[in-house]
Amino acid sequence: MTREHIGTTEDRPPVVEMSGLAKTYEGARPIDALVGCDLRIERGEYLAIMGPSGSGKSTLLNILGLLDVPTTGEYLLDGAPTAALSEPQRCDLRAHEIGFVFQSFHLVGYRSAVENVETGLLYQRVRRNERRQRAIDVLEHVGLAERMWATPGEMSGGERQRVAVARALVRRPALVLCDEPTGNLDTHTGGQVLDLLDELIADGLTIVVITHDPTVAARTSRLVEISDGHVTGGIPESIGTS
Amino acid sequence: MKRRSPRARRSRLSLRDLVGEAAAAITRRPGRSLLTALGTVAGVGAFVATTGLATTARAQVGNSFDALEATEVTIIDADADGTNPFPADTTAQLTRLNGVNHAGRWWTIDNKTLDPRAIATPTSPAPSEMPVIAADPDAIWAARPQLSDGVIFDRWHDDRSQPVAVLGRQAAQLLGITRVDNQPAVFIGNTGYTVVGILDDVARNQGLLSAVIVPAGTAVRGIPTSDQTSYMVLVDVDPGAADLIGTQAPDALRPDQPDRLQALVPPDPRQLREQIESDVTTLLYGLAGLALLVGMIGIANTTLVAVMERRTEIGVRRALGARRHHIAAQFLTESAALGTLGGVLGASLGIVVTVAVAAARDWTTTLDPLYTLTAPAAGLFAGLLAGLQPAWRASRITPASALRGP
Repeated sequence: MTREHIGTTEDRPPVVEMSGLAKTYEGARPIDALVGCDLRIERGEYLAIMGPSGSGKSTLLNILGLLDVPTTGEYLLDGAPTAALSEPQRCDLRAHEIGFVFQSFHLVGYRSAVENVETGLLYQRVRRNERRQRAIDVLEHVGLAERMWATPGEMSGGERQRVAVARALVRRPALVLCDEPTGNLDTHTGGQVLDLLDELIADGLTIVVITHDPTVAARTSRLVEISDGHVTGGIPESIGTS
Repeated sequence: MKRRSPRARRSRLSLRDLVGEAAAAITRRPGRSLLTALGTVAGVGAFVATTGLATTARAQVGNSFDALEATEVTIIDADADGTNPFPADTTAQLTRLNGVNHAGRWWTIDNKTLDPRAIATPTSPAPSEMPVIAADPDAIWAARPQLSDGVIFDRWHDDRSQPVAVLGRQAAQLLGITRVDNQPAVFIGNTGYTVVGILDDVARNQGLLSAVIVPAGTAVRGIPTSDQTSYMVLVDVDPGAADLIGTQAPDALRPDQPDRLQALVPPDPRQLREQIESDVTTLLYGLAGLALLVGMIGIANTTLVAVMERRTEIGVRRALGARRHHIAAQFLTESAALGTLGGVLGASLGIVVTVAVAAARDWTTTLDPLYTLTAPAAGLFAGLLAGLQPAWRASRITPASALRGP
């Protein structure tokens, strides 16, 4: 599962670098969802973003995943500025650089597990045979080799979330964004999913987990807190000091 | 730090993958797909059935007009003075004209004292006011008769004023005569006439069925006729010849006084048929178009509902890199495929309905391949058209809003 081009060389830029980022939802009463956020995520980092409901976690995740655009501020993804990207260009980056794992799994209900994983490669125009082989490989990696022809309706919550993780991994992304990945799972099954994420970190992936569960945050290497749109600890102390 | 431009690798979806995704969405949920296609099935089915019925009905209208209306000419006395304006050789004069099959004089003998009876007893009951018709043999043939028994008197009987008669079906029933091999007779006044034939039906001049018909020559010499009698000639012509015969007949019969005669020619059947065909076709095509429109609205509505139900799937696909036009293309492909499926099923249904209706009405089924074979294409077009708005709406759904939790 190792991403070939991810290295640890110091000359490579961080995966995520945000500065002064803000997001305001316009309306009769404008809402400042994010205010002056600074955030830096290095390659291979396992980061938790934690905060109460309504603190701006989902907004931050959407901007990190290029699903939404900030009102002001700068966001560099893998060293490249994203502010001026067009909608199609954001699609291109999502297709190749970012993987998503959602709290509600969001699998396509009428497709089997292996087909759902293949969907992760659909817009990269990977050839059909290679797509199928890579999907099978990833499903074996997450321990679902025996369940690859089951549809989401025939699977347990834990199995569905592992399929969702496999769908994110099969793309070999620079960044994996997990939105409450254990939110709909019991403690035991959630633990299994977190074990899986631990393995991926060992393989060199960069993972950001949005959570309000301290036990999930405790398993990550760094914790960033967010409250009322303000991010605390977005820049590692060593870099902030320097 | 040196900044790089965004990576150039584009998000793509091949045509094969697009079709594969649409096919999976349709085949993995067959119940929903069939329900969605039902609108098109109904629309295309109605279209094929109405066009099929229009074509079939058109053929029937054409046949009817060709068979009867277009081939009948009646010549009447334009200036009645109580005398017979038609010469005795009317049949010979008219059958010389190209396009005439049969032609002959006929008139109703207006004499209430005749009282036809089946037996010679003056006191025997007489059917009230049974008409007596005098006719040339060809006047009967021009009415396209069907005989239930015997024969129709011929020129030999006519020329020699033979006392013979042909009975119409109703007249024969009233007189109690059912067969002619025992040489039954009817009495008109005090004269007996041998019945040589019984008419079962006629295509024209229905009055013959209730009458006692005697040869014109016999009537002229033996039965007194009042001054009020209306003399006529019935002509059976080839299709398309009626107009010409209508202009030639008065000159042929009365070259000395052609204005004495008036030819009654039916309206040009081609124009009449075209008018009727045009009216019927316009009506039925209008209904077919309406049905197709209703079908399209149905498929558009169902597809729109499907778009709303699949918001999360749309959001996931967008998160995975799908561009707006990828989403639009997928929904449009699904809609077009469902339209084509509906077109095929609808065409089959329309053909079945057309054949069934035609069989029930004893018509010959006539189907225009232009409409039946292109019906699936019509379904495809309807599906594409119906899918445009839902596909556009699907493509405008933002991934962030689509993925927002319930």
